[in-house]
Amino acid sequence: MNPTTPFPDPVGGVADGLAAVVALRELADRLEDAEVERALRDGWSWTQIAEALGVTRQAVHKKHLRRVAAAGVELRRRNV
Amino acid sequence: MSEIPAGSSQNLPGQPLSRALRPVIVRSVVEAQQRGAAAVEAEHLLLALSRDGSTAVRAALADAGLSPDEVEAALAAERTASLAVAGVTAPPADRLAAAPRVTRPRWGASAREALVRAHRVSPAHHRQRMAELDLLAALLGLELGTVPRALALAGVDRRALLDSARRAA
Repeated sequence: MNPTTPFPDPVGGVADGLAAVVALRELADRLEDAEVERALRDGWSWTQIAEALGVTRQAVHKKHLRRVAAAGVELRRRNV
Repeated sequence: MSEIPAGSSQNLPGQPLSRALRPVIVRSVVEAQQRGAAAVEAEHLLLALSRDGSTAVRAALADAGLSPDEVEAALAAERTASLAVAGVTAPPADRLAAAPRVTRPRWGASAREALVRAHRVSPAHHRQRMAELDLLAALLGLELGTVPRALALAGVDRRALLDSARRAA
């Protein structure tokens, strides 16, 4: 931004639209954590979860395995 | 939840200011982790100051309506309002319940900016409470983003808050 341009108000107008993007990204991240965990508790495999999310098994594994394992989510051997 | 890995405050901007602020910095990482955030942002530093800041800083924040619970509420209200702009309502909290992430969150842009600004105005010989005041001033001086939005929506007078914190220090 040009240094001579005054900062716009943080609330209202364009700022609200950009803040919506931030809030949606955060919500999507939190929802993914919760839903992946729910799927694992329901006995879904990593492969199934990855397919449903439209990502690779490696990607979903890397993102969530340590977290759910630390939380003591019962993972079936075939799931891991 | 895992322990914060050693050295988690080593790669942040604003050294050596961070040494005096270590408890607040470490707390901000915990706040981000507990919320499942991929990055530590300015709002996590504000939460950390409200919880683990000096008595004077915590009192000034509480007097301005920013006790830890009130900071949480202000941030939640900001998120609710921002989601509403896109026509979205967040699901109930239990639908979003998840185990906290165990990997250390990275330093987000807004936290970096606040720490760099705090460092800029903080000579190395400052005592801890001054370093905290510098961080508070930097957080209150952010023009755009989640923290200024949350404070504006909560009706917090940022200048009055900073003046009162400086008087109390």
